[in-house]
Amino acid sequence: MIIINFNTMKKYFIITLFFITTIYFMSCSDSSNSVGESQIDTTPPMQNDLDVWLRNSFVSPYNIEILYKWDINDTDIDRFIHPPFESSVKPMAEALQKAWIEPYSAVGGEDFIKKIAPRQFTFAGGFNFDPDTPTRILGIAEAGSKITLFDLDFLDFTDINSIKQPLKTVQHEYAHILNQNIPFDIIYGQINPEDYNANWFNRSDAQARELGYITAYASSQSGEDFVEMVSEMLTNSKVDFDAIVDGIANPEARAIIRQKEAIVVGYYQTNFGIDIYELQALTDAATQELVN
Amino acid sequence: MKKIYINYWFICLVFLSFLSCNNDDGETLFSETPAERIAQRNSELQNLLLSQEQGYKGVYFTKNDEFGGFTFYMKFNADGTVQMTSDFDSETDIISSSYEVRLGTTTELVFTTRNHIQKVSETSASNTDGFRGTSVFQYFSNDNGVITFRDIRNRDTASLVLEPTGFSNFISESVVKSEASLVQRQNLLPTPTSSVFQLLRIENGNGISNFNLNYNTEDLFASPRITLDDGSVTEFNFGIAFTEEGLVISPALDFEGETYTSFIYDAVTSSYVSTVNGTTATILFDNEPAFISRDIESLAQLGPTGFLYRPRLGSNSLTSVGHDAMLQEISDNFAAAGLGAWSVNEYQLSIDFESDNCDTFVFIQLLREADNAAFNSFFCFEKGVITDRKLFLNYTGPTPGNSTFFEPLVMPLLDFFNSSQGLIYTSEGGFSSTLFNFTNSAGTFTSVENPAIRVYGLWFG
Repeated sequence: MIIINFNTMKKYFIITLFFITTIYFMSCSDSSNSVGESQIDTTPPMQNDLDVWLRNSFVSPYNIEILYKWDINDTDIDRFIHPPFESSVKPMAEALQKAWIEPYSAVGGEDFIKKIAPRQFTFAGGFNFDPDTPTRILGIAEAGSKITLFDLDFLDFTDINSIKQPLKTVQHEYAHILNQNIPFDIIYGQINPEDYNANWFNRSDAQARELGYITAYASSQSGEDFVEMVSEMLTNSKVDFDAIVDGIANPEARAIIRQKEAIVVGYYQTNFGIDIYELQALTDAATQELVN
Repeated sequence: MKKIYINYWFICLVFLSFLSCNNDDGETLFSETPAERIAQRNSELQNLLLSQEQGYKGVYFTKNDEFGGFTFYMKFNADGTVQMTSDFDSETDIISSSYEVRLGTTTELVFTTRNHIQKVSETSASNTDGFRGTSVFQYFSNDNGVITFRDIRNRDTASLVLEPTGFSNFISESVVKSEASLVQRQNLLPTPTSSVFQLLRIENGNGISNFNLNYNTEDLFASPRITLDDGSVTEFNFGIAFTEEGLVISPALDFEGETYTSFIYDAVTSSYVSTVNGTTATILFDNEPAFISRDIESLAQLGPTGFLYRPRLGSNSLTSVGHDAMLQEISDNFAAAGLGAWSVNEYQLSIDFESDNCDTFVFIQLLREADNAAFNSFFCFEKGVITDRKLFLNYTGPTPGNSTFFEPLVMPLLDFFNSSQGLIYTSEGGFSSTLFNFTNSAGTFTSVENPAIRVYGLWFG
């Protein structure tokens, strides 16, 4: 028979407790080294003269970033598109500055573009052909925050008709962005909805005009119809725009386009306090100056 | 008491088990953090690119099951620029643009602004995919300074392989080499005097194997093929990229245990030769095709019919440049004779396999271009004879009248049909040209005596 008195038992307990406590303090590793220097690479990207100019001309004053260095994820990965020549970037950016930003700032106020504008432009040098239709995409606007322009390397910056192509794209996409901020009156889409057609590319501009649409693409749907009216007005002088409308043989189509024009004028005046004809005069003068 | 003791021990053990730590000091798979390893991989590539002061030579196959490739010379600079030239086209001037090494799907070399390499991504309304090239290359391997990249879009068929140039002056030598590559591309094309029969010939211990090359000059892609009488077909497919010394193919050609990739141009024989372990693969112009079909035998079944060549019906690439040179020679003959500008408006061949009484004849219509007046002439041959799958026509002379006068002027065309070694005929299905598609049967005749001359035409009757 083993007899253990209470004092002995207490002694054992204290020894055991001491032992466990010792293990407790010694068992875990010192993790003080687990938080070291940041693993994130914060090295600023290399900037060339063009990058600096873009930063000073667009990022600083307008919070607009112009991406021209290739990232395959900036465009449709299944399309065969390529970045632009660096020499194409500045002329295009200057065209945006002179013929889009400055006229809007002049009539809408210094902060107009700062408040409502795409925050990013992506420039691509090559064509973007749509494999599903016999068409070429000139530009894409995404969620009101980004505009992608294609074909830059194939523009002639001394030819006004060539430079008007991307400017028309920007005016078109910017009008979409304005519509996303303040929708246009639904009455616009009810003027002549009967000839809206997803296969708009089977029509020429001239054919579309005889139906009361300012371009073939305008005949695709009301949203495109509205912004095509805007972009046609802002890439032609008033004289040239009137000549386009007056050249339409069908008087009913002429009247429809004038009706749409009036809605566009009212939209700009009511919602933004902008006289679009004044804006039109400024964009036309700036575009002329770009090629002179 | 003993029970209390046991409980104490039990409590202690439980306490210990909760406090015990995992063994996290085990073997680590990597000594660096993921971020460090990514940075290391990026700097490894960056340092490799910058390590060659005289740049790299790169052969880029964009999609080797559809297209050939191109040779680029590129010099990477520490300021983020890359200087480049290529043999894509005759514009070989060095262009400077930007590049970056960055993490994408893996470490990537991105040509961020446009340079020669983006020519493989150029598209047009008629070719909306171009050569299906990219500007983004995944770093795949470094084998003693030879860097291999892949393209994620064409991951099984695209490769860009960079190797040091070994130049002493990148700027001048790279352009010279690019232009030399362009010359090599030209060497593979037919000339007015080269045979239309372009073959891939492999010679090894088992003998000689010939394949018709079937080279597509626009895609730089070859499909060497032979079709035998029993219908069996043996075919290879590879893209071709040209270098200053010859050409390289991708994928490599595997034949009877040997692998052929690089071919060196032999100017003496106008051929490209790859030698591997005593065996050779040669791309050459030969006097006869890899295999002569029985197509000629179908002519006897055609009955009273004629073979027509008429330029107004559009062109077909099967009509050789040697043939067009022959027609030009006829025009030159008229001019040399002081007759002004004349041309062959069309010609026809009628074949009879029974009669020698000028039932086999060539009709040539000549056009005096000053007034568009057309003149007809007829030239007689003996009956057609088929021997060894070739057609033999023996010229006997002109019919009276204009034909006699025209005979010496149009003799190159008569010599073509009068080939002493016969004519090879191929059936080509329905007629197809740059202008028209007809249901008429079409075919080609090639002179074995002068295999630079081949004509594509249709049968009528």
